[in-house]
Amino acid sequence: MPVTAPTAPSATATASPASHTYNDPTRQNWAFGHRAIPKLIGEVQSADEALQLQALHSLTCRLHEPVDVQEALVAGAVPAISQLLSHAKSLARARAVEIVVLLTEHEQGRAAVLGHSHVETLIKLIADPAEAVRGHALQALWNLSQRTEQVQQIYTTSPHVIDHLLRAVTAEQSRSYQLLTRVLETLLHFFHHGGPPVVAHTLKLGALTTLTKLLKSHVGGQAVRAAAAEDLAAICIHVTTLPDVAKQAHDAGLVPVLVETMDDPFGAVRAAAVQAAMALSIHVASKQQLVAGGVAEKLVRMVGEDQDEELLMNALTAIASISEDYTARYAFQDVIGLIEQLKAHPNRAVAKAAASAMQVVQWRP
Amino acid sequence: MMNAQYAYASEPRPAVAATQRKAKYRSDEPAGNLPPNRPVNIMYDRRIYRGNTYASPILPAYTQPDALDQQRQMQFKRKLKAARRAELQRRPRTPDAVEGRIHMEVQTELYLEELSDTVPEAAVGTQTDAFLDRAPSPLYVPAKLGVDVATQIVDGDLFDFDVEVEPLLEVLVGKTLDQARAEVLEEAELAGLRRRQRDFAARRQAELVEVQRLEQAERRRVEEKERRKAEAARVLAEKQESAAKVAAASFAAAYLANLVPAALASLQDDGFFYNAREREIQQMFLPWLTSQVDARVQRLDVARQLLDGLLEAAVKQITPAAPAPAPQAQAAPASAAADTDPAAAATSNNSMAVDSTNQPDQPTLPDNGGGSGSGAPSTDEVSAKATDDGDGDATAAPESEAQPADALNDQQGDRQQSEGETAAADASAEET
Repeated sequence: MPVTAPTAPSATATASPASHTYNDPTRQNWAFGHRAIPKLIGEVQSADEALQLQALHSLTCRLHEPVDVQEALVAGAVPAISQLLSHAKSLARARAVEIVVLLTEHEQGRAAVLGHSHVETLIKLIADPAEAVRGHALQALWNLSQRTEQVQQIYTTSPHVIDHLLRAVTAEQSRSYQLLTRVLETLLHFFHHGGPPVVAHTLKLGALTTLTKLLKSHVGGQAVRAAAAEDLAAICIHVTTLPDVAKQAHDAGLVPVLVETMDDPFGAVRAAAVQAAMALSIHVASKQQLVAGGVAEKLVRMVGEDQDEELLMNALTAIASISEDYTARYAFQDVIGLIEQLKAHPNRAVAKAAASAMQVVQWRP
Repeated sequence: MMNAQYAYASEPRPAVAATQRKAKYRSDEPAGNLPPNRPVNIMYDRRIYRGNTYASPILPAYTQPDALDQQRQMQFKRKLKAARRAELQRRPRTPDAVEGRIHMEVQTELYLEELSDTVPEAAVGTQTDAFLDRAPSPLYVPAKLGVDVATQIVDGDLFDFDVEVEPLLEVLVGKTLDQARAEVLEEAELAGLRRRQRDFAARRQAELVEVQRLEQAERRRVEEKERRKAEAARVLAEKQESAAKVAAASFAAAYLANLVPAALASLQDDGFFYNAREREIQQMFLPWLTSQVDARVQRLDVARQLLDGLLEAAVKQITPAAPAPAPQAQAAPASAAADTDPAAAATSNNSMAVDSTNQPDQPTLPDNGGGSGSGAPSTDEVSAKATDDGDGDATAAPESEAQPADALNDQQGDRQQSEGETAAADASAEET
């Protein structure tokens, strides 16, 4: 008989909880049927840290099914993981926040998380030393900021979320560009759904200056630049309601940066920059600055060369706004034919924007 | 540890200095008193080559052999050769070889054997081979007994894994594929939702900007319109104000042209411009004069009345009682009765005023005193009256004296009226 090497003892036997360690999923003790999720939630609250970790990992594997998510919410998953969000081990924190992410992908989960006031803990986890924890916390906040009511609820209970997000913008520039993109996208949600109060709060913190510097420094890839430009557009849309927008845009030198960004090789970045310029051009002084900065030439080139519908719509809307200045109106006389052609564009939004632009460009006193 | 594992045939000794090398002769001092051999640093030993050992050693200049030494060495060598030659010559030579044979030089050093009591020893080591595994015992095959029976299991008789596992695989693979497809579809749907959200947000942003542009344009137009309206109103107000100023200036010029003369005339009418002497005469002298005249007249009147009374009394005493008089004669007693009747004084005054106009000889005393005897009051009388009204205190004393005079005046007026009526009755009687 050949002599075989001794094998390790099987872990699938009736092992005591003390011997459970964070191991591969093939060794997890899952119950069957409706007992699965409640058992895991019970193990999450046990005193054994290894069992806790294993249960957390099992939950992250199981909560991709909406049915399991519903069962977890009914079984009290949200209060069960509240303690683990502040765990000393980064791995446990990461798994707990990942469970929150999985829960917040559903509307009932978002309502449950907001109801249990986990937002404060998530906000603090934005500055966690572990990258995985930060990433999941930002993803959870991004999920929770999909609707206006939720954003207003978050901002009402925790207005300092804006402070933490802006600090994360500066911090993630030297750490992770992917997380930086997520921070900027979360900020965009807050700007869109929070309205003038949130934008005014960010202006007091110098957000416009920070975002302008980020856009100017070309830190990160196209995703970061596009997200930063979209955030600037969301701020500049309030130029008529918040007087600080125009002032800070002028102080931060936003107009030259936007004009320079319109030459970016990526279409998404150009579209976002044109969107920001379009919003800023409502203000008369900013409009003059844009014209003096040479934005007319950029728009003429975009209308003639770009095919992206969003970019065309934004460019035509910007032309309509900027053409209220007479010097810009003269510059756009050469592209009247192109704008006339765009009035028959299959996209209704582009056609409507072209009609408005034509009306303004051809206006005579 | 090294010494325990290794044994030296000749243990290495440290190099010692030349001065401390083993002496030629034995020393009489015991071994313990001898100075210990102090090891010398080998780096300072001339016998040790120092420097690169990989390349051809390049001896320094000072190591180059001295020419004198070389010459000495050559001479020494020549001497040795000469001595060797001389030794060979002195030593008897070996006889020549027999015919047919030659002498061969054979080195017998190898065959030399040193005779000694010491038995040469040599250490020899050997190593046996490792033990080989025991060869397996041959399989015991017992002798065949019984009857041979054969059987054959063909494919398909027993469990066919490929067949049996197929439905399981179908279920597992199918479920997995369905799950994967569902997840992919869900992700695609989510991506589509995000894309639609982005498109909607972009369209909403563009619409919002367009609305804001139109609002701002409308606001600018309204503000411009309000500014122009305010400017027009201001211009109109200025024009109206200037027209009003012009009209007021012209009216004021026309009005003020006669202002000074009219004011002076009014003041003069009001008595602000008066002659002091005339005023004094009017206010002080004439009232006094009038009062004095009035008093004198009253005294005369009283005298006359007394005289009349006396005469009447005398007449009555003289004549009997007369019959009832005629109506004309009744008027006279009526007038006489009216003299003592103050109620008729008012009517008598009127008749007196009428009579006074018909009898210019009768002095007419004004009720208030002062003034001229003309019927129509002149401006001086009016002014005098005004001053009288205003100088009530100054004329209080004369007025108080004039009050009883007024009563006498009334009585006298009544008498005059009666006398006038009597004359009128006589005249009418004569006419009839």
